[in-house]
Amino acid sequence: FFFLMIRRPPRSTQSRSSAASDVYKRQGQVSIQLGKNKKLEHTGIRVELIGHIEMVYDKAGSSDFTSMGRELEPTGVLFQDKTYNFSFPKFEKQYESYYGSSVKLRYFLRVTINRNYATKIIKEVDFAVLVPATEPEIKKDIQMEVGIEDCLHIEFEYSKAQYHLKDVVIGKVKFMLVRIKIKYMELCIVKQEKYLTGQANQTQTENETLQKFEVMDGCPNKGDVIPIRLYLAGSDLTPTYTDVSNKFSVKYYLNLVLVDSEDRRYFK
Amino acid sequence: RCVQETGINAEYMGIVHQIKQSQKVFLEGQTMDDDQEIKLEERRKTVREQAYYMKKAIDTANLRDALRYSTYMLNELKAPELSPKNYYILYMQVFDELRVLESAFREEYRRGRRMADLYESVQYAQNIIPRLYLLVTAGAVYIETNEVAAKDILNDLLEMIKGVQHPLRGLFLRYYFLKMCKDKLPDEGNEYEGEGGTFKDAVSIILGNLEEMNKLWIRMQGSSSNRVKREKERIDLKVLVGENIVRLSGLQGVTLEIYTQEVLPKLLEIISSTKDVISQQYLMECIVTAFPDEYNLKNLNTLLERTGSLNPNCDIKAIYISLMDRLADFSEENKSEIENITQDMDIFQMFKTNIDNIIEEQGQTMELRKLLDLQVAFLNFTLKTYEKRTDYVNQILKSCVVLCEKQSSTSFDEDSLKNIVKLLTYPLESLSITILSMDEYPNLMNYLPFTKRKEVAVKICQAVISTRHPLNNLTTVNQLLSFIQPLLKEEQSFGNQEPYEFEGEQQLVARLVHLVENNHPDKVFEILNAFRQPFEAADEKRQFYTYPSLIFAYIRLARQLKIYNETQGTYKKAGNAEEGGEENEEESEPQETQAYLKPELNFKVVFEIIRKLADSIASGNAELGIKLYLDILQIISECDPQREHDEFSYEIAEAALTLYEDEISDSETKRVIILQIVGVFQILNCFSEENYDTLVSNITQYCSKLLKKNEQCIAVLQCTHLFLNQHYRNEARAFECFKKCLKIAQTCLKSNIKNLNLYVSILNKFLFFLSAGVEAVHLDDIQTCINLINEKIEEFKSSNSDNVESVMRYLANTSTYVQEKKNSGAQHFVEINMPQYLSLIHISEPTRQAEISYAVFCLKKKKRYV
Repeated sequence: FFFLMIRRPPRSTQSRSSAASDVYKRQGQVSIQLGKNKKLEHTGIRVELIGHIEMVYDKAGSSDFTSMGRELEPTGVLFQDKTYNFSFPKFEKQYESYYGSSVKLRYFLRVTINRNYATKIIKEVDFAVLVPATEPEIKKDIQMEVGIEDCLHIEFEYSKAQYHLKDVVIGKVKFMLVRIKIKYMELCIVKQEKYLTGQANQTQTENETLQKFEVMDGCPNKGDVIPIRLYLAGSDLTPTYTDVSNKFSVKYYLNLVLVDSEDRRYFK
Repeated sequence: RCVQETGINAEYMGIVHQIKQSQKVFLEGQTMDDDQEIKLEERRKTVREQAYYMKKAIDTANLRDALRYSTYMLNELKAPELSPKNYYILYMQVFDELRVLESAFREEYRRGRRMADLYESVQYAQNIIPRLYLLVTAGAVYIETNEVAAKDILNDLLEMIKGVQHPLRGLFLRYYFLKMCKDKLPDEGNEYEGEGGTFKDAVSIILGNLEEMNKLWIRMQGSSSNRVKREKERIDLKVLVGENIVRLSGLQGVTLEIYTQEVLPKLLEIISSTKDVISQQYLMECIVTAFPDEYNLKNLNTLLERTGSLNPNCDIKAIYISLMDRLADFSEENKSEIENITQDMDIFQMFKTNIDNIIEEQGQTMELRKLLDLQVAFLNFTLKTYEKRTDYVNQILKSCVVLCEKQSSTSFDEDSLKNIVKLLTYPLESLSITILSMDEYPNLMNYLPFTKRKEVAVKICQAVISTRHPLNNLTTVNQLLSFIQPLLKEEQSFGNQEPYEFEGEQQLVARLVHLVENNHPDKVFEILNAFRQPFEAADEKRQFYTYPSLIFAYIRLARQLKIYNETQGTYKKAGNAEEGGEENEEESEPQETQAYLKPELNFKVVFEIIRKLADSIASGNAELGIKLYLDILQIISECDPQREHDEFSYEIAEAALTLYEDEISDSETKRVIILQIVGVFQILNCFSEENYDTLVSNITQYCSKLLKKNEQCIAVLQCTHLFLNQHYRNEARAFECFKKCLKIAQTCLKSNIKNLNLYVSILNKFLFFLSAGVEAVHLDDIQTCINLINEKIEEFKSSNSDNVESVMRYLANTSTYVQEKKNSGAQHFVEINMPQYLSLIHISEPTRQAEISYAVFCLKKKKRYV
């Protein structure tokens, strides 16, 4: 019986200013606590820092994109509790942590106690990585005219094409032609995960509607302008990622859906 | 079982089938309504539940949960299946619950939460209905904090609300918005003015809301299916839309100027932007009713013009009517103001032109009834606004006549007839007799059937009577008579009538006669003759009511004639010397017209007429006839001190007596009438002595022939006056009467002690003549009387007679009188020996001590001040 504990160093030791740098000193402690009058025979104790991309539905596609290791103890026997300090001074944080429904990008520490006759003792601890970046310049708004001939014709616009996580989507929908009986209109936030499958190197796409936000009730008349104001803080978002380690991308869409009285959905 | 056992199958089965069918239909109809009820109940229950959780969360200051539960609650307002009425019920329930949330928001603010955050966080709600209700609620609280300009929040809300385009839900949401921002609109003089905007912002916010609501309201109409039901539903909801206009009119900042320049044009623009009938009509009505009448009066022209350009299917006349009714009330209350306004602009002409337009455009399609409705309202307005303008009224009547001319007779339904009656009667209330000068009046009246004409005639009579304006002009009277023709003549087609109604009508006519008045007897005579003509032509039933009043009118004329003759006489004597001093009131009028009477007017003629009238009454109703004869005799006696008409009066008197003898059979009536006759005859002075003798002895005879002895006695006793009065004196005859009385009294007393009162009466009569100085009265007789009474008095008191008390009092008073006379030493009385009778009344009469002392007190007080 023993405990294995990976302890994070006190916060004060982490300097905030270093957060901007790509190379980040990761350090900590591992303590091993034995039960009473016990000893632990092992063939080596090791700590590793791993960056891992996991395809939830395709284990074969999973892979580590970074990995470093330290030997804490050579083969031998432990007779008493022991604490080890470790650090990974050259840890490069390339990507941000991401936990999606089909793709996960994880960082974790792994302590392994190898043994001859018994199974390995493994302890993994996840940690999150954020990569601060400068706010992108907002390029443009979204404006579009869409419709079905002689049936529906709308113009919509959103004030921006990029939002931060606590932003608010402001926009409006103008109805130019309404020949269908609209029941309601909603704005959906759709998250799209795209990833390469391991086997055929094919791209898979996974869409998930995070939130449905009703913006209109009933059927408008020609010329009506419906306002849109959607606070993003209300939904669970992540930043957009493009081509992370050539493995996956995450994108968000605003999906405008019109539902008519026969439950047909018109969307863009 | 029936089928099996009896074999009556086919028919029976048919019936069973029918029953089942009808049951099914019935149940289906039932379930439609039931469904609604059930669904409403379910939703109400959910609302209650969620509201409970919401309140619980509020109690524990858990705003997050409170918002969540209120969202669930508000979700029920989605209710797509509810009818507007049920939706309203649900809405009201939610509305009440939201008040709790509103105060919770206030509380949160007090605890230090930033309202801006709250305002944002309520917008996280996923569904639009709850989101917007919460937003409005939070917005209202936000405005209260004054942290942000009211107009900004309001405009933001107004913008966001656009998300709800469903007509029913949208209307209610906007209504909620209106309710919530009710006291938060920036307005002149309230706390939100200035930073929060001006009342102009408020105006534009409300107008914006109104415009949208109007759109939604119209959209409710939807497709053509189920049009009637939809319209009904929409009308149920009109109040929601009208609330906007009410709010507008409630703004302090909206003055007449602002109203004229900004509010009204925009309102009219909104109204005319659609062509929806219900909306246009309702909103116009709202404008008319919501804003002060003065504003509308000033903008009348614009209003009227716009109204004219509405959708032709609009019930414009309803708008006009409500407008005119309100203005009419307004002008009634603000007379002086209206005068100023009417000087500036010709309201009448404005209305007239517009109404004429309507009639011209829609006269063919609209029902007569409705057109007349319009005219009635117009008339009402005109009467109240222009008090003395008969020409205006005449114009309106004229256009009505034109209207009626165009109609076929079938289109005169009950309502339009009622309206015509109104048109004819309204002017009466304010213009009364002057209507007679309107030439269109009778024209319009001709369109009415007999009953209605009669109704109008009654109204005319009532109006004329209620003004008490004297009828002094022959032409007026002739017109009047032609107007009230239906009352004077029976019409063939007319059916039965309640007797009391008939009586009432005829009495009105009779009262008209009493209004005849003119300073010149000639004129009166002419007018009365004018009345007499139709009266004579009418049937007896009417004459019974009309003749008496006519007779009295003639009697008055005779009296007037007498005074006139006398004063004329004095004039002649005075040789037209002086005017003024001696003239009495009637003569103070200008005299050029009445210098000489027409030769055909003299007493003789008048009396003849009266008699003729009385004769015709008498033939139908003896009692009334006798009374009228008596009246005639009185007037003759009054006007004819020279007894010139002796023969004539004798004839009348004879006629009266003959009537009495022949026609009156009831004993009680007889008694009453003969007493009346006696009463009248004792003052008459128009017979020669010979004739008088004859008549009087007849009367005395009649008296003594009355049925009951005691009645005979009293009547004969009265006859004494016939022989002893200021014109005639025959003591011997009088004492014959006395003797007869005593004799009858004696017999009566023997039969019944109750008749003691006869003696008291006789005693009094004796005393009367004694004090009048008639020498033939014997003291002996008096004393005998007194003694007799003394003997019997105890017995009488103990008798069970009804009138013991009154007789005793009479007796007591008599004795007091005698005592007084004695004390004052009057001749003859000294010798009478009459005991004092204690009046029974003394015992029961309450003491007056208190009141007397009060009176004394007052007097003293007053004296001191004097």
